[in-house]
Amino acid sequence: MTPVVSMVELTKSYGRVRGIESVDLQLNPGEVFGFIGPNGAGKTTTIRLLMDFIRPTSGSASIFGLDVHRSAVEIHARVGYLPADIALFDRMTASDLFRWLGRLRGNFDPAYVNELVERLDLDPSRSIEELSTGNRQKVGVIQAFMHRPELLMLDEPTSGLDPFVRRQFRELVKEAKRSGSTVFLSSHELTEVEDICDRVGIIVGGRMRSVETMAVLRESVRRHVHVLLAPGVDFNETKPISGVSNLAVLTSNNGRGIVLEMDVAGPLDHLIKTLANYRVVDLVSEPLSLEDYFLEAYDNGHPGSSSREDAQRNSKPAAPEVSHVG
Amino acid sequence: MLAEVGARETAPSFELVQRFLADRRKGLSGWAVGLTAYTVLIVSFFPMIRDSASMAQAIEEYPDAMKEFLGGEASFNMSSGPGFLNAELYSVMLPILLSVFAIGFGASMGADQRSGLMDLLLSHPISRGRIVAEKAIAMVVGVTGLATVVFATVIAAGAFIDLGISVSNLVAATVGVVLLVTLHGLIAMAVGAATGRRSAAIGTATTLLAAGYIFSGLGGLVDWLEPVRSVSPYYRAIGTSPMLNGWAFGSLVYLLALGGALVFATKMLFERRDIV
Repeated sequence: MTPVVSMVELTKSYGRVRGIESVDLQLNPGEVFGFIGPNGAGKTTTIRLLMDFIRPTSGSASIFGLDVHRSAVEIHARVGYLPADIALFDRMTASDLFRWLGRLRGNFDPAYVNELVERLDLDPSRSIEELSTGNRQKVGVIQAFMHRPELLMLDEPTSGLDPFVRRQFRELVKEAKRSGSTVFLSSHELTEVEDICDRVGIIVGGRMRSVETMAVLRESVRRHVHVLLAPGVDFNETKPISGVSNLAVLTSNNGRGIVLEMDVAGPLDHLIKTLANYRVVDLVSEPLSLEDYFLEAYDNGHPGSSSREDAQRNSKPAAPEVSHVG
Repeated sequence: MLAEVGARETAPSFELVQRFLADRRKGLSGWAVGLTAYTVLIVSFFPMIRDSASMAQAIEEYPDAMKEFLGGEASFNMSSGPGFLNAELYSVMLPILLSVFAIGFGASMGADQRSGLMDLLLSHPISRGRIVAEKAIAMVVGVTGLATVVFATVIAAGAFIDLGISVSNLVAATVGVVLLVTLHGLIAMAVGAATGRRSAAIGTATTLLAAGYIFSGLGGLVDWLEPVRSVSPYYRAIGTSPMLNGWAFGSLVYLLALGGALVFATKMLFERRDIV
């Protein structure tokens, strides 16, 4: 089966900063792939290389088995693209723009466009220059989806959208997947895309850190957990709690109780069941920021390297460990 | 589900030309109104200036070098309709005014890269070569349209004021202006395509236009500049005063060839360009 998107040692250098280094990735037909990383990690660079807006320093990329440069026009007829910060012809109304873009593609389905307009709650009769950022983003989403492309290339698609529209957007992605389309979407927040992605690739500092299925990733997400136990409680666990590491037991300095600080990998289930034996006043669970998490995962994969710069080119870290018990 | 892709390869429909021009609809109508008013104003002065002895005397007293720089006495002889139109409209003002439009239009080739508009176009099944071609066509259409407005105004004014011009020469002068202006618009387009910078595009095209004007004038005064003058687009298009002397087909071929070369160069530069 030909991968829908294939990158082989794809590299783009901009002097010493930014760019991407030797990215290898294959997308299977019909999958929703989340391309996750902090801002400036190389997500947009990768997408722009795939769209043939910029050209690689080395390596190659193909879409539908066609070279992204030589067959750009043919590929783009089958791709829907949403840039991170979309520019539009501001003097047109949204509905005129959709019709015009449809003519460019030779493929326009007014009924489907109307459906999208209604679902995203956009007023298409307004001139685009009058639209708010969120409404412009809706226009961007619609123009990407309206020709039912085989591949959707979406760069930070949910930025600027309110929660209602985000939910609609997720529905659109799920529908596209059901109808056989492949989706490549980037985000700097894993939580934003985790329920629609089948697989997630993590890019940090221009290098692909790991590619995981969502199921594996969910298991390995680490949280920082603070627990406040009632004053006077004697916290005394001799057995390790599954998933918990770096446990610290502190006495709250204002006498409010006993404070537990810890990192937890995987489900909180065992921790909660253990804590059920104590009087718990409060519990706060915060996911580690994605960047922290993957830098940590990276360091775990390379115990010898303390910083990213020390790492060898092309090296790829092992998958983050699923049950890392401290 | 997505099988109905086959019928997409249709004949060119100039969707981009339409969009580029429609996007400047307001600007273009403003230019048309302004140019018409300016032309009417200038032409309405003609009878007064033609009959003014002091104006003729003043021109008579221009230093010879100045007369030569301006293209010879006939080309700014204010007592003849062609000399007057050439001096007041076709030799300087019209090329400058239309260049402002054309160079700005060409520079959008750079500005659209910065704004992200180029991404929108290129994410559709449109080649970079097609964008260059349709942008150039839109520019030619816009410049020709504006020059035609001026042409029509002069012809209409000629019904009321005896300008004594030959229509053929007026067409020749108009074509000269259109070619000169379009050429510098294309220079802006090439620089914009290659650099993604609007300011570099405008700066380069404006500088070259000014240089062409100066060399066209100096070429008649300084012997060793004469060969330089003959490559100056300004000299080829206007310096030979088609309003008085009629068509210079060799010059037209030269200007058209330069324009074609610029479009080709722009396509090559733009195809290599990283759009960031």
